[in-house]
Amino acid sequence: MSKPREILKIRDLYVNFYTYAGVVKAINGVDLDVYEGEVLGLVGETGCGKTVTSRAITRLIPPPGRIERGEIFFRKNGEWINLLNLDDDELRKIRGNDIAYIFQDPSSALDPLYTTGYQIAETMVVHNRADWNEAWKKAVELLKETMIPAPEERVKNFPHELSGGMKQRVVISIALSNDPKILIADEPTTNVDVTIQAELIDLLKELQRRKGTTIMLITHNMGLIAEMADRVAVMYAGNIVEIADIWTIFEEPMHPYTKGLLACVPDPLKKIERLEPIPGTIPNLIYPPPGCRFHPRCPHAMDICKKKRPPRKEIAPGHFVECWLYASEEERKEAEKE
Amino acid sequence: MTKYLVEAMNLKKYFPVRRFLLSKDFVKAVDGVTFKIRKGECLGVVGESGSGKTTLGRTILRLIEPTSGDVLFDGESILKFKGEKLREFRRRAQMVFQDPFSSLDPRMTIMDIILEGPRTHNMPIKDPEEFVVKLLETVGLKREHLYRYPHEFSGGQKQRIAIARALALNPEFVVLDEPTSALDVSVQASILNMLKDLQRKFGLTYMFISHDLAVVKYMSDRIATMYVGKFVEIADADKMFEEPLHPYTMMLLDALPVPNPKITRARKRREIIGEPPSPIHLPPGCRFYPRCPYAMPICKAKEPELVEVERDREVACWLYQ
Repeated sequence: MSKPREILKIRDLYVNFYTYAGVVKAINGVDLDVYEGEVLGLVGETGCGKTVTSRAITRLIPPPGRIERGEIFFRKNGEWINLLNLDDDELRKIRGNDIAYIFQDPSSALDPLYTTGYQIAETMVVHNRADWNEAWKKAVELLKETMIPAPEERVKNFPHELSGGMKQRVVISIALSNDPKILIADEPTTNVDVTIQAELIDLLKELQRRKGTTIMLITHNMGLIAEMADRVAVMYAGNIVEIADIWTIFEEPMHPYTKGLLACVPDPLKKIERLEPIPGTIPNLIYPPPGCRFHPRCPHAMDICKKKRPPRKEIAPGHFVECWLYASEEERKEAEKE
Repeated sequence: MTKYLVEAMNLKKYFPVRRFLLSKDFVKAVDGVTFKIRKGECLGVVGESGSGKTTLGRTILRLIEPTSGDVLFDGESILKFKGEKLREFRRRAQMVFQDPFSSLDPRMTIMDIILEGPRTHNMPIKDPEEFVVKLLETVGLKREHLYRYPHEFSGGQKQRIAIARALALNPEFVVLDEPTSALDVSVQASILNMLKDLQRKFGLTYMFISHDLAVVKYMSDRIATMYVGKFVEIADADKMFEEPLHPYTMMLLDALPVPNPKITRARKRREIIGEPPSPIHLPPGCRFYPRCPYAMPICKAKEPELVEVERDREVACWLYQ
């Protein structure tokens, strides 16, 4: 296999939400590379900024949210474009075309007033990929690809006539309609039953293998990550605290939060006497804790953790951790001085 | 005195649906369920959405009246309870609901929420404030929370309040209906641990309803798999995961993502066939046969009964009869 090439680079991303209660510092300096053809899992608990990060990629952050600073580079036809510098028209050509989304709740992602076929075809027509006639035919094919029985009939259905699993397949069809380079799947199976979840996972895996689409899989479900992801980025309170390949994350997690997260997930195949919850609760991001945002809940917290944010360290090739435990003596001293 | 605290016998709950003025159909939410829960054990109930888990939980507490069948609580039929006896049952059996955001009255303080039950039941409480503080401490909350309102709490804390409210009446039996499905994993872990501790401390009997097999396994002594209104398998929790017998249990376990990439990628999943039938128009015979990879002619003709195939293990499937 050739060396993996980046397709998306997020650099120093900051996103704030200006609410009445105060400024929520939702994303606090995120750096992330996504490689072509991989499945990157983005995990973390509610409110840690997974969804906001993924939406920032095509500037889908609704007010009162604002991207404060940062750069998001996307490689299109061999050239790097900064998505945050594009004007709305240019960005619209990329969103839904090169970069497509599958959102969590299929019922609210579909318009109740239009048939499923119309909604799939529309995506292609809007991006000038096909006229209505062709697009309609392609919609049937796409539904067939996503393994919906009797696709010729289903294109004439309205969303309310379909079950939750079917609706999510329609949403997947819409996302795939323009052969995106990057597919961002935001909790694609959260509201569905395990059997349907298994079918959707198989479907996404199959499509990924056939088309080589890069997938960014956002979820809090460690089982889903174990099943699908090639690499994993763990988020906590607006920071990415650890990045590693799937095997390393599960076998040699380094960051105390990653360890904690894995210890509190019940593994159905093991005899577990007691789960180990992470003490404390996620911080209020209007007043985030100074230094490392995880320190109030961390069993290994040191003085330095309360003062300064830990630097990102590459422990092994491709394994990045943001934690003072793994910083060198000099780095710590340096930080103390400041 | 019996060994069993709760016994359900051929319990049914049908909801009428009217179509075209005259013809009347029924949603067979619970369609003939028989089981027993021992004192001090936790019976887990798993099933997909729409399988009737919640309706079952409510029916055995008589929050809704069953269509037919009977429920015995400590040896007595709860359907015959009246007046004082019914009030006493309402105290002894409690429920914790799925959504802590809608199960707490937003206009009441935590103190009032927790005291509402004991007051209704005229329980003699010397110092109400101390009584509530003690309960709050049992569920990991503090004195300072006494006079706050539900909106001031996080989801996990709200669920703790709901549990404290159930405990206030000193119950023997608690139905936990998806108590952690609205919560994050780390919060879920601490609530589950707390529920286990409370069970031991107060000798509680649980019925734990959830769609999450991993959580049910962690909590339960025995597990019942429910499929469109019926129990298809009841087994010891570990045994069920080691060797599921009913094809539907196999399908569920197969589909379960395991948080271990080595195991989860090595296994081969059987194909999942179809979707659950409508609980209004059930297939004849075994309700699982249209999706069953082992279906035989008899499955279509006759519905299998839940029979004991080994100790502590009942299966409703023609393969084992």
